[in-house]
Amino acid sequence: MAVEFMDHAASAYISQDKGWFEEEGLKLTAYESYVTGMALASALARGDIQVAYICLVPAINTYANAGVPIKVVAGTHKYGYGLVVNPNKIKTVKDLEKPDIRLGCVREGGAVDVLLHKTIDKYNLDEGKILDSIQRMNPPKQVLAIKMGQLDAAFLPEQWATMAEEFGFEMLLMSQDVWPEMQGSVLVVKEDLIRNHPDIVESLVNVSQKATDWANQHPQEASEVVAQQLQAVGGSLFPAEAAEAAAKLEITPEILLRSMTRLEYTTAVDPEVVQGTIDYIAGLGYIKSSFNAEEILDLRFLK
Amino acid sequence: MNRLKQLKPGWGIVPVVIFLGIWEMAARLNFTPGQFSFPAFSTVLMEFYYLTANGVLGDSFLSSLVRVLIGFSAGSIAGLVMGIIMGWREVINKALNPIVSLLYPIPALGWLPLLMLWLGIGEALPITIIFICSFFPILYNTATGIRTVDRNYVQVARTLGASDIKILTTVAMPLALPNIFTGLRLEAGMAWRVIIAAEMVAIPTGIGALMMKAESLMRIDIIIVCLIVLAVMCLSFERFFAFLETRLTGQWR
Repeated sequence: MAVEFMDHAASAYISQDKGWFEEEGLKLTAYESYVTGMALASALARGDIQVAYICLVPAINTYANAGVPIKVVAGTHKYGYGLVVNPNKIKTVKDLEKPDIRLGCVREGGAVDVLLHKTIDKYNLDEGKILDSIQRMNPPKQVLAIKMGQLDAAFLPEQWATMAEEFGFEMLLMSQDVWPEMQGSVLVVKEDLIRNHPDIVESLVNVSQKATDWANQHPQEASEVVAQQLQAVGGSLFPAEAAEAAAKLEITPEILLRSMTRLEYTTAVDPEVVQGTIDYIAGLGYIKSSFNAEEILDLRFLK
Repeated sequence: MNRLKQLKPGWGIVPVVIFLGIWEMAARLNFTPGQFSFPAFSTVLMEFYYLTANGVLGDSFLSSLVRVLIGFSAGSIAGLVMGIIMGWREVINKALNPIVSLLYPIPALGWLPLLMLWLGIGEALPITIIFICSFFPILYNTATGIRTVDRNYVQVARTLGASDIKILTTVAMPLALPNIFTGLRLEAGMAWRVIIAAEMVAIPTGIGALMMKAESLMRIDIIIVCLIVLAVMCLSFERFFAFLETRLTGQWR
């Protein structure tokens, strides 16, 4: 199993902490965290991973571009991305077009990158100016760059967007402002796991549902559990080069509580929203052509 | 034997065709280790056509080409001038050689972090990297070429009344040409390798940046298209200078 190093995968972190995977008879041979969805997608493509909690956009790329046979069996949340800005330099979204603005974003193919394009469309921004000013780096590096005063704005996934607020940045836009019903992360499994072990997939979805419900009912405790899990994973996750950077970015329960309230934790997946996402990233040229969302969805395990 | 010689140019393409055939078959029959995606040659060709038709490849190629041409030309001219001066004037050589010897072994990409801080991310960064990549080897080869010219030729020219400039331009430089061209030929290919690496790390446009974008989107076909373009450009640049060398020095070498 692989998860993203974010509170997007709260249900996985909670299940791991509570021992619910074992309770359901699921024996994980590996449990790995990745800093970005794209890194996790590469691991999926290499064949190392059978189950992943991953943002929908990289999951679609994995299926369409790398031809990896995966299925989305449940959602984990809606929304969970935002644009944070230095309020002294940026007052409105239009200010992003200013020539001296240094804008951070993850690389092409990430969910926040797609949100950036949605923002350009919605606010009729000059695409050339915006894309020219972008510095591509992963979320922890962006937050560190914000802390060092090297960025003026950043498109970030949660919890990184909320962490940026700790360094004087303000949330100018949230994904719900730009992209109604935006699907955040999803639970994906390899097709052969569904074929050969549907019982395992059913258990995974059950655990995910249980953890999602629990997180919604106990937000305070959930933030503490996820904070504890992320801090524990963070030490071993980052390579030596980034370890120092990661250590400077403390993920506290308070930050996570604020961050997690900005997400809507739900296992439900709307096929129309998924289809809209597929069509949109096909329009951006990120996948060769659009395809039917039913090809990548298998929601029969959701109750 | 004669017939074999006549067939030679055509035979050169046979291994390439066999290689492409094996590639196509291996991909179509899914003979790839693990589960990673491996596109067929025909898929890569189609993607090449698509990227060319929509202008993405052209734009990226042009960005890289302009950087290489400006950086390489500036670095080569500066290297040639400095190399001639150092090769021709022993005093200057003795003064500058320790510095050049210290800086020459630093890989061009080693300068990247420093230049990113000094110049920021813009066109000046890759051009400067290419400049450095070309400057030191061409300076070194030029200076060595001029210093190793047989002194007897220089003495004869001097005895016949030739001025220093005349000796330099008509005796020393032509005799140093093979060395100079070796530097130019090797660095012409190296400039492409370096620009791709620089674009992959720090520059948002060009063939290297297109490769990174393709990597994050897991578009292996686009990565292979870029690698083919890179291979063709390295080879073309090296062959161009090999051709120039043959044309300029072939008659008397």
